[in-house]
Amino acid sequence: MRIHISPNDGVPIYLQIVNQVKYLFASGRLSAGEELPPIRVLAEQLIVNPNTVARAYRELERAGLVEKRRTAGTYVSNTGSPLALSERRKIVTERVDGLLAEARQLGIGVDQVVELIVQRNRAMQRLEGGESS
Amino acid sequence: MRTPALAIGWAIWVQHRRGLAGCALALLVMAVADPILFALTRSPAVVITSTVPLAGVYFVILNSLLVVEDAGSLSSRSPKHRFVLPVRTHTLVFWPMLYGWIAAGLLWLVTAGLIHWSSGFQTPLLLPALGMATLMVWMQAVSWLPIPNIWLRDTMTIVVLGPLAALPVWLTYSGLTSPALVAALLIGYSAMAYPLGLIAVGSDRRGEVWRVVPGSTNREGSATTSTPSQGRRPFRSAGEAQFWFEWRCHGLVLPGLVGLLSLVFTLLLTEIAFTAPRPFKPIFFLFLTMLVLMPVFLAGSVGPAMGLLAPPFGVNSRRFITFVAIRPMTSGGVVAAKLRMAIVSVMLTWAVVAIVVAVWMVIAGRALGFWALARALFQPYANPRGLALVLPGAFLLLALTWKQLTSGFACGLSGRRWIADIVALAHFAIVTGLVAAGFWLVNHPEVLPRIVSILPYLVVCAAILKGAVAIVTFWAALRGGLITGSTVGSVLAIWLALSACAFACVQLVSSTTPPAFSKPILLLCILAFMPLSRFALAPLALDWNRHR
Amino acid sequence: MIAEGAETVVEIAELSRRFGRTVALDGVSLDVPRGVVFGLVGENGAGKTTLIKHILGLLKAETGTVRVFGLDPVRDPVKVLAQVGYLSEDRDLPDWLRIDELLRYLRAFYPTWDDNLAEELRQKFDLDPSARIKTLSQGQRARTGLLAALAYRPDLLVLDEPSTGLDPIVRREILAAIIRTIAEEGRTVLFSSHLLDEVERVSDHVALIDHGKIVLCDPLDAIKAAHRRLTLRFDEPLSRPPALLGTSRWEGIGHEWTTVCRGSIEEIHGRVTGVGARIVEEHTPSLDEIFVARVGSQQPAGVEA
Repeated sequence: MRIHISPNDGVPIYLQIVNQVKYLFASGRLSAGEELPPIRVLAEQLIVNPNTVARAYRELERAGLVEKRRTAGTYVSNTGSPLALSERRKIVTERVDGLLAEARQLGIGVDQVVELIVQRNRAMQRLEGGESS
Repeated sequence: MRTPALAIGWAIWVQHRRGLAGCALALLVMAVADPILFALTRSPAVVITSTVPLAGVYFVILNSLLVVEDAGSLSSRSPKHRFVLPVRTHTLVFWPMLYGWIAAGLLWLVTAGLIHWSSGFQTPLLLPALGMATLMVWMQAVSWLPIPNIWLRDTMTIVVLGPLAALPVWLTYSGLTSPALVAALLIGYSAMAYPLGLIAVGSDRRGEVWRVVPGSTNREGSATTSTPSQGRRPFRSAGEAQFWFEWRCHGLVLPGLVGLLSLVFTLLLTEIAFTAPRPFKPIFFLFLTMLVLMPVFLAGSVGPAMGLLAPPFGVNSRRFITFVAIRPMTSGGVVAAKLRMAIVSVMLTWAVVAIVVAVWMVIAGRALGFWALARALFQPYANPRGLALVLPGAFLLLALTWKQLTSGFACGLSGRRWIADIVALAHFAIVTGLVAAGFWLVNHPEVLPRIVSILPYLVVCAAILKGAVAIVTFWAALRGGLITGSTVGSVLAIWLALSACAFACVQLVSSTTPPAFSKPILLLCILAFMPLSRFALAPLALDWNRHR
Repeated sequence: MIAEGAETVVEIAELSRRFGRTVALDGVSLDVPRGVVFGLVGENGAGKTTLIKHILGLLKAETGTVRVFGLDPVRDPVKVLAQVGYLSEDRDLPDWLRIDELLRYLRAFYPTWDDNLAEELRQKFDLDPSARIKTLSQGQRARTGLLAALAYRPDLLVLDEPSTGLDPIVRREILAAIIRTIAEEGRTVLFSSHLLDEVERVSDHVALIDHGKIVLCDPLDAIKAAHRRLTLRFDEPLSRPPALLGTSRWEGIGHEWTTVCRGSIEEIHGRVTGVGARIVEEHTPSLDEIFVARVGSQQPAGVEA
């Protein structure tokens, strides 16, 4: 499980862990039922305080993404798909919010943005089609 | 600063200006005071005492030119910290040597001319000046050799310089050659020191290290060829571990020193036994006496260095206190380990002396006849009284050495450099004063009875003082929780046992020669002499050092 | 050996200390709870090492009290030090011993010494037992000192500038060792450091010392919650930084100025609008920025916008 922490980010470390686990799960690199590394091991690997990792795990448990099986460790919960979808939507929504904020700052209107999205999508499809043929 | 030469000279001056200014002042004072002094009296006592300040001056000046510490230390006289400057090696070698040569020679000329000549002693001028100058440059050259171990370098200094110095000295005293030739020889020597210095500094500048001892540890990384200590049994207690630590630091210092010096004595003795003309017996007994007294005297000077918590060579011991201070061990425990180490060290020293005596007996036996010698030595002790004296006498000798050794511990343990310096200075002053007083007494025997009559009062005062000091220190140590009541008990027991032993010896001796003092005074004298307060003083000093 | 149910491992109350005329510590009060990683942060000469030496009993408290595990480290060195592991800034180690000799010597002092742990750490740190300590590099010395301090599982691990002067690999190892220590129940770590990103990753509590006085002493989360980094945009370009309550250092030029500000979000917003500016960017500052803002050289107070 590849997680990257940067303490200077402005985002609290535990939140970075939570977000990255969610992303890993949503992108399929963490499958349902897979075991997360124990708190101590992950803390040592990331060189962060174990309490921070414990907090992240608690957050994930509260969000229903993982479950703690007594004496067996922490596992990704099996109630997978609908949450994954909502997580995926959430990630993309955040990206869209960022895009809209930036566009507004640069003075590009929403209609232009939507047009740009359609254009770029068509270009990407053409590229993929060109590659496969 | 126009040239590197001036810069180097200025650096020496700036670092030691107070010392050098003090020396100049002292020389001036002596130049004025000594002629007056020696016009009044010519007694040996005064002569000896007047050499003390002179010796101090010499020491300061030579120290300012010669101290070599580890590379990188700015106070090192080694050119090492100037290696990166854009100057040729010739500059780094030539100028300090020149300054040293001139300074040493000038020093002698000044003292001889100003002080000795004006006082009426016609000491030779030229040869000693050249001799000192040559010695100085050779010491510089040898001390700049890039030999990693400090003690090895010091040993090499002695080994190299000894024979070199022997030649001109022998030539002068044997009168074989004219002084002019000896002077030329010395100048030749000085010139030879320069290429040696050049080689040494050049090699050092290139980063080479001269390994005189093969197989000494690598500078880089671990020694791959040494065998690890397999399965050494673990220590049974913290006290044992600390004892081992102290032994590693200091255990072999006194035996080693005694061994080294007795080696020198042995060589001398061998030379005398086989070359010199007859009255050998008194010389032999003189040597024997010196050998027996040597450990006692050496112990006194080695003591303060042993009181430190790190080996005397190669470690910045002032900063090192933390390592021992952090251990969960009471100050009393550390001191106890040190004192135990001192006992074992003393026993080893005397074992070395015993071996040396045996060797000497063999050597002297060849010259004098072994059994005749043995009979002469042991005859006085052949009666039962003598035999009864031997064992307690040996025990007391060990105890005396141990007492001398440990008297400096509190000083070293205190960790304050100024305390060690003051104590050393006080010792030196007292010893010199006693020696001078001794000489004076020899010349004025009529004062002796009066001194003898006030001696008892002095003894009583000393005993009272010792008692007071002991009470104060023990109370302070007990209050600070540094020693336990049981320790106090055992200390008192040791003290009384030693005193009883000494008193018994004195009784045995005095049954033939009547004593000068009454029994109580004698008893008090012995009690005042035996070690007591140091058992409390040492933990107090360590505690003071450990918790600043 | 430790008092039952003790919440605080180290209690310091009104500690002051002078060396000659310089005041090294001035009325320092500090509590280190059990089981936390406590980071001590400050400039060179701020008093971190002096404070640590008081905790170890190497310095006596002139005024105030120091209690470690409820005991005075000066009066009871044996009981306190048997549970404390110390790595000094200078890595005071006996140069003339070999590593195996050093471990053999130390083992006799600590009843809780664990041979297996010592061997495991020695292999992990890649230390040759027959190497003489004099020949070790800086990183190896630090590792040896850390091994000597960890092998008996001390309840309190005190590290004075553990990472300073070391390469990143050794620094990682030292931090990993700190984290392993914490992961074992009930053990506490107190360390001082300049490397604030490490302090940020690893500490639960942080105390900031400046010129012998404690400026901050709080859980790290609280500290980060109480500060915000703002970029303000003014309508008129300013030649000197503005004056705003709760800030002291400004960076910027012209219309936009950045600072780290203390206080709750509402207060800050109120003050900002009071000064007549607009918040353009708002972030949680890193510990580095908070440190510089609270401790860095005093800038003259700016003019009102």
